[in-house]
Amino acid sequence: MLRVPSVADMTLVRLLLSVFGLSACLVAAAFGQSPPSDAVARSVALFREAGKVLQHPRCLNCHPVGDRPTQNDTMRPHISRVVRGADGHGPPGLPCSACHHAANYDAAHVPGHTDWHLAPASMAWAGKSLGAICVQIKDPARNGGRDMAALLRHVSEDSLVGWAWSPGAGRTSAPGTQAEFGAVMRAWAESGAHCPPE
Amino acid sequence: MATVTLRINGANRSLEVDGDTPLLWALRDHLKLTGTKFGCGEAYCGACTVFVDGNPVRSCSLPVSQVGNGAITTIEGISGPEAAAVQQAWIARDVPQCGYCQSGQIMSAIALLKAIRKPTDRGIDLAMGGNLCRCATYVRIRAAIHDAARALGG
Amino acid sequence: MVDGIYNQSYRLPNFLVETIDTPLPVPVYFMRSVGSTAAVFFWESFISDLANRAGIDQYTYRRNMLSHDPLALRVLDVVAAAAHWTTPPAPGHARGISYNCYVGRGGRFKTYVAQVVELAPDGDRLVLKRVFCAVDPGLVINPNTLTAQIEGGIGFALTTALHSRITFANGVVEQSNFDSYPLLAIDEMPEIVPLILPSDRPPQGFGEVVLAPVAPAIAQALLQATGRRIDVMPLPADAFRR
Repeated sequence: MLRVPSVADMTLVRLLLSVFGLSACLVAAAFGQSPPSDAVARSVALFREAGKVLQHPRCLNCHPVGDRPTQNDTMRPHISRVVRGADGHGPPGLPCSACHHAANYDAAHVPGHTDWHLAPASMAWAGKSLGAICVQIKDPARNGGRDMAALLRHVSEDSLVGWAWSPGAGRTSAPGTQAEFGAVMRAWAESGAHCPPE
Repeated sequence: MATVTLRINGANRSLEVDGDTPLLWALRDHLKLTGTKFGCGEAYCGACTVFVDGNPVRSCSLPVSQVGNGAITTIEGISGPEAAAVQQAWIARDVPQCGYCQSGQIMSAIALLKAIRKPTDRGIDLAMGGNLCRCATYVRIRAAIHDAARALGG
Repeated sequence: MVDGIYNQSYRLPNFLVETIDTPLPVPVYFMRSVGSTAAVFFWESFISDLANRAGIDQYTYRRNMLSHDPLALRVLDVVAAAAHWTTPPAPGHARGISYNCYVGRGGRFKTYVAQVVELAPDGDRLVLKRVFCAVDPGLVINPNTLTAQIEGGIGFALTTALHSRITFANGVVEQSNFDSYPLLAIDEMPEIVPLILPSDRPPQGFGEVVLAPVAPAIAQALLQATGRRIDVMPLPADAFRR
């Protein structure tokens, strides 16, 4: 059985990161283009772990397929009836910032962030398989032009991504912490960034 | 409680409120600017829309502690060509029925016309989608925004 | 409870309405259009079923059953002509027609209303694009206000037809705000074509009269377009799937 780090298990992540960083090098040296199925399986398993975050309502709600975001843990259509707009910040006259201010405001049950916005349509995840999301997230044409280093920075440092772990009252947090999520993504990248079947 | 100074309709106004108070209640209860309406308290209906530094904002979902130095404009303080055009169009089209949501509708219409000079029906629907009207005056809201756009030379 | 049924206008030689008081755990009271929103939804849907059973066009069937009432025929004819009823709708589109004579309490007034709704395809769904509404409210003093009541009344009825659902759990209403109890939004508002008929009758009531025919007309159009017969309000969202 492969043991895969959990986004909720930081110590294990650190341990495995170091082991895996090393073993990935050894594997690559020993097997060249065709890593053993164990290594692929492990990489896929790492992405499945990351998928617990990627496919969490905190993330999917703002990575919708179509123009309208969803909201809440039930992922119902967003009310008010808002759309993405040209730059993800809402249409002219109704920017996201009309309701979503600099910080969560629990008294009104309205979440907030200084740059509240939707992911571009190219980054739509909602309703897709984890394998499809995996292929998509590695594709610079569909991930905002990011290479792997930039992608890892985005997931582990971007503060709007980080909102998923401090979403305010009444919303479940994404599993683990942003740092743990970043670490799992890094481990996945270093293990060859293999994807589950689409 | 703390003393908070807000810049509202061009004047500084000081009030004693908890920082977590929604701007809406500061406006209505403390400053008696009751043109801005309470509808839902959770940013679903748009009745409480004001401008902060010219941008439309739901005052029910903004605590006074987050306003900072932002210049607030309420329905009582609107001015400029877009506001004049929207007011004239609203009167000419007899838009309001019960009237409760109309302050918010007018604020959003002004915000739209500042953002786009000549909105399409679709553009109007997208921008006004956050302003509910139980009387369903939507037909006239659309028509009045088109009128105002024409008056502005859009 | 039976407003719009016990005083309905179709020619039915043998017609009896009986009511049975049913104790409900929830107090029921008036909303805009009083009893007629619920009753006329049933009644006009029933008339639509009869027309379908008879294999007769919905407009023609209503016309045949109202031939004794020239004012009823007038609103029906005007709305059908405006909506080009006799020309089939474009492929994928659908129409529904409905009629109601709103009788004020104790027969204090009679306002005649006929509507045609037009559904159009939008992706995998049907959407309400346009509502023709012919009214005979007697002498009209202020056509502007009357038109506003036609537009707004239909929009109000659409909130009821499409959205207003109240459910209870442990004795408490589950809906608490516009997220769980949505109102019609501007992008759902169809084009309204008001058709106000001249009349020598004194002014009649108007504030509630255009509401009741909306939902049965939509249900009739949905049946025509999808083969699904909808007999609950609010009309379920998946009823609009193509």
